[in-house]
Amino acid sequence: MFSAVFRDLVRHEFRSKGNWKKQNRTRIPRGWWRAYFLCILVAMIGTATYFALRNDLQVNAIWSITLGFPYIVFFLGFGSVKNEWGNETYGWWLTIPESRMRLIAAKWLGSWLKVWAAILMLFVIASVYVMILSFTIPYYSFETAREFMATGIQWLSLIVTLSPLIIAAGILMGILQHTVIRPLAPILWVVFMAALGLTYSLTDIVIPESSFSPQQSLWVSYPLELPAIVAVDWILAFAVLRITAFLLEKKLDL
Amino acid sequence: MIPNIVECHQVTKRYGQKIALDRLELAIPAGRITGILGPNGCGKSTLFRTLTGMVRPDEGRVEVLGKTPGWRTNQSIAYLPDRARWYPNHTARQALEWGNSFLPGFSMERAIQLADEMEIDLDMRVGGMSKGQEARIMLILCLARDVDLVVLDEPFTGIDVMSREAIVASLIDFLEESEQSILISTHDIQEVEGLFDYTVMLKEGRAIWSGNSEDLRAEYGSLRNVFRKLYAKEWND
Amino acid sequence: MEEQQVGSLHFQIDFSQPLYEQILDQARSAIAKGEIALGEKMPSVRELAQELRINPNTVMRAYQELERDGLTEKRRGQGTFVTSSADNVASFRTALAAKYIDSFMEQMENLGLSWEDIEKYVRGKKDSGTGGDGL
Repeated sequence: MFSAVFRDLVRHEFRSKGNWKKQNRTRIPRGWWRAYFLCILVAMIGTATYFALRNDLQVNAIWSITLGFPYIVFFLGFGSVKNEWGNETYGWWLTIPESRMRLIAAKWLGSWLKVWAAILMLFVIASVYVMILSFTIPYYSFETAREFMATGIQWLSLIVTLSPLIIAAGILMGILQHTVIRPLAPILWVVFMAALGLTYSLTDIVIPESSFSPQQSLWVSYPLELPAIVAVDWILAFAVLRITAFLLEKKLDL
Repeated sequence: MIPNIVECHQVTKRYGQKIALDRLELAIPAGRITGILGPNGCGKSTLFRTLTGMVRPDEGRVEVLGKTPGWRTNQSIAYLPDRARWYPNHTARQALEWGNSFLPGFSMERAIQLADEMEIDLDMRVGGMSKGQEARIMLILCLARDVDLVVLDEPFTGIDVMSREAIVASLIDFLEESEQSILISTHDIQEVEGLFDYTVMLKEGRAIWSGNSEDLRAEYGSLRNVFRKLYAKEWND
Repeated sequence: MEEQQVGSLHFQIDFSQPLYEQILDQARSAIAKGEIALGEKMPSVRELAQELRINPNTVMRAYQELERDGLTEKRRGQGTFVTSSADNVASFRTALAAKYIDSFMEQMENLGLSWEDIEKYVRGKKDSGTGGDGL
């Protein structure tokens, strides 16, 4: 499984391959996109800093920008397949002479690495920001920053560890559209979208209320349920990838 | 006896009500340059997708290189999909590296040489290329491989005259150097009919004529005329 | 059908006739006529295939036949050359002329013409000035 070809496949999936549809729109130069992104970032930091200066900022609220993550992760997996059809590269992808499981697993791992990259980046940026606040504004102590990071680690690690199944489900939905069992698609959409909502209720189990209180002495505290949840998630993810590989091998309908 | 590179027996493939392949009987000898000719919708692409294992026939038996098609047989087949595109964010070089990583028998050296002959700038982004330049890169991904069978689905469609000529020229060079079997499908045989030494005419999912191109010429005249006559109905529609 | 010049040879390929025979016949006659000189280099298989847009295997087969005819010879690493022997060309020309005459005679005999009739027709044709280039 972990051969040089697999490594290259994962690398290929991890990299941005572009999208012809976006390509054909009137192109806005990259510099502008970067400028817009920076503007939004500055505006967000500015707003947060404004409230922080008035001692009004609940730092943990910063993590609310990640609330959409479970859905974003799902569509990351879905998009990795959909793009092959959107770009009309599926003929190339499907005729790569490697086992279908490898092909699927590479897409899955490529997407998961993207999730890791995004989350690590976000965590570092947000933590550094709150650290700076805690050093410069007397209202915010080092304890605030520590608590902020602990909450972040708990919530983000929940996303990271649950995303294997979420990505796998996204990939399955992407492939399903092109197989003989595509009539099942509407049902599965409803099921998956509803199931993603459950992620939020898991926070009640995984992130105990106590961890939000400043008295919490532990750096990070995980409840006992978490390993079980993760194990079930990963086993299911593997099963979903197996099913997807089977569909790809035997039930494709082009 | 020369073994056949492709064999189809009573192969049927339906899409809903539409029949793409209709009890197709076909045997294509090895070591030839075979033209699979027919108008759009005659079953050419479905046949090629069957040969590369992407499509499974509803009925009948298909063999390619003596085996049932699947991802393993694709190790020995260079395939240019129909209406294919390339990843817009790749540069030409990254596209060739993709081939080098995933396509058995691929020679990077040969690919770079072909890119040079076809005047492809390796550092150019595919997203900024013309359709013709993109088509040339995709052809290189097929021609830089040393495999038993090369399958090109409509390599001349939708590209400018210059690219078309560059592609025909590199195909001729390729034919001269290789002993590989080649299948090329096209609905437009002008300027390329001299390339095929074996011809299969498809119509409505069946092979209505197959044999040596020279026999076809001796019997009926130019492929182009035969083509016109055989598909007169489609032409008049 | 357009005429194509490849090196000092020119070809007129008709895609409604078998290609191999056309290439062979036209190359043979170019050599027999001296259009391409003794000892001159023939276009490479690749060059000819490129210009005529035909399968190189077809050209290759025609070249092999020319070699068997004794009209060309392969030099290692240099390509194919017209034979430098005038005798080879002459004897090929004689043999080809004999072949053409045989088939001509056969057709005439099928018309029930006697040798005298044939002679008369040929002479008449020659005198009216519409004779061929002559070999």
